[in-house]
Amino acid sequence: MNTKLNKDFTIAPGFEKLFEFDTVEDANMHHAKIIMMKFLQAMEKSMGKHKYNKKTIAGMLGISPSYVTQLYNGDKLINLELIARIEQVFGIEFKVQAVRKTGLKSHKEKATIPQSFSNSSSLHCI
Amino acid sequence: MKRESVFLISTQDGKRAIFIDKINASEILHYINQDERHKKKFLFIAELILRGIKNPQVYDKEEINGRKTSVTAMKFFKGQENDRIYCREFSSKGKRQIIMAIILIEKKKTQKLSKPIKSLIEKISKYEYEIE
Repeated sequence: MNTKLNKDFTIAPGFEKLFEFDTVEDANMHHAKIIMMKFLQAMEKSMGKHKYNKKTIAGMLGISPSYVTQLYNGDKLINLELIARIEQVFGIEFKVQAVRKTGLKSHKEKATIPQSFSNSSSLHCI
Repeated sequence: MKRESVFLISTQDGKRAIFIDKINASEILHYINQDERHKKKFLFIAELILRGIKNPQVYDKEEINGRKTSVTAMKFFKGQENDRIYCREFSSKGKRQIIMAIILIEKKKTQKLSKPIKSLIEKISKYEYEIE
């Protein structure tokens, strides 16, 4: 297993295992949840002073409050259709920008993606 | 007397860091490491904290009688086990923000804070730490 540490974080010696995932799939799922939270945070920021509770947000988006809770808990992942609905309902646009943080991996290297705390690519919601 | 702490992780620039209370470290780490489900939840909460992404569903300031305290809680499986790791947030020189994981409380039973939990929050809000 690749134990290469992520550039974004400094992990105390002896705790590397704590911040590693068992599989690439687990690491990717974790990273997906963080990306989702960036979208949800951007959505909340767009509301400005008008802070809506989860029940109201659910109503506006036509989804159940428990689904909103599951998203914020990281138990479910948001899909692109819901992101599109958020843009429509809140009258916003998520601006996506890719920022390179490491060298591009060759096809061979892809088989050994670091499984540490977070993946190396970054997606910013502005 | 100041309590001792153990450094766990920080952002590369060191501006946000998570420490753990030395006395309770073994219990907290055992809780986190008990299985993949708990570990994954901890990593989710920890990365949100380090990236400054607010998500009161999993990490928020605790309130006593509608008043925010200096104590925060990492919320594990809200609505299910309802476990908490109570923390303190400190700011040091150069605006370094430190999150100190202090104590684990398993199976928080009521939505509102019970009397013993309120006392615990009052108690740990007075803790002072040696931070390297």
